[in-house]
Amino acid sequence: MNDEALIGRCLSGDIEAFEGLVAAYQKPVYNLALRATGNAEDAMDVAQEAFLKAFRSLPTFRRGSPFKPWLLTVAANTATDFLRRRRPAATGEFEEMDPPDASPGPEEIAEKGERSRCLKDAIMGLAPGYRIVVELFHIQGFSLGEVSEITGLNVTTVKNRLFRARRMLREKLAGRGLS
Amino acid sequence: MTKCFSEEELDAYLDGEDIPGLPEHARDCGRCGDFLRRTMRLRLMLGEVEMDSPPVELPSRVMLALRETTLARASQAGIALGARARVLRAVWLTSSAVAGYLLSIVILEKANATISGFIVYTGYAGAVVRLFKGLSAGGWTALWSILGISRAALINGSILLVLLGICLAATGARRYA
Repeated sequence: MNDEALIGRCLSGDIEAFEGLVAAYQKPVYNLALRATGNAEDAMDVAQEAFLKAFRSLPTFRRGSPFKPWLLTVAANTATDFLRRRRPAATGEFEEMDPPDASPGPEEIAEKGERSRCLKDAIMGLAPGYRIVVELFHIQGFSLGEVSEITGLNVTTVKNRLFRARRMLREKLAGRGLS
Repeated sequence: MTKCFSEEELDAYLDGEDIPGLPEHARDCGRCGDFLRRTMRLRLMLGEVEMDSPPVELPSRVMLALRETTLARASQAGIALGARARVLRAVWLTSSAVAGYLLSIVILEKANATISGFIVYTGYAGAVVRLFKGLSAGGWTALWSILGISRAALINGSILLVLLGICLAATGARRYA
């Protein structure tokens, strides 16, 4: 059953139809939440909250438009709210954090799986505002316009964040012998 | 060789922006060429990063929370509906009683007028009859008795109408409850 049919059933009161949408989009929503929060436990809570908010907001969804960017917009807003609650005194999205893990040795990063892990670690070392745009643009493959729509940032800001994020990533990866 | 391009310009070029002179320059410039190669490599590597698998319990957790919140909302809506029904019942009963009361007044007034008119008419008629046919006083007593019974019947009928209104009110209230 396609998104449109599932949304129609949800709007007519069949809440079980929403499970189809959860199953279809749990991966991008969870990964966006993971990139925003930085840990699996919080990501799970944010993803759950995002789906509940999306269900409640379904009547405002413009039928016929793509569901995934709309759902990820809800998820991004939920993640932003979560970060605001969690770190009220923080300097904001541009704050940079230390990478969670120590740098792996050169033999480890030779393999593709390890390279991917190393990259993920490097991404997690960025501030949430950078992580989210990297996740949406590079990993989930959204266009600049879509990333702008999802995050509520203008295209120029998205471009700037991506540029700075890539520069920081290059530096981090160079330090690990992977550039 | 032309002047080197900034990192922002080189990065924008990789985003697909048309920057005149950049490709030609980057072919000959080690610094700009190296930046483009490294950035392209990074972009490719980022594109290869796979999304993490969400925990298997995520869909069931979402659905459980959704059912709980929906149930809670339905319950709250039910309580609100019950309160609304009580208000409607009270309004229905009050308005029915008032309507019944007003109806009975109208009917009684109408009945009084009719009876009075009838009495006047019959009074004239009786006078005419008495005048021309010489009816006895006993005949008048009988006529007044008949009129009295009719009047009582009309009043009783009105009371019955009021009772009927109350019954309808009760039926309506049960339907709302």
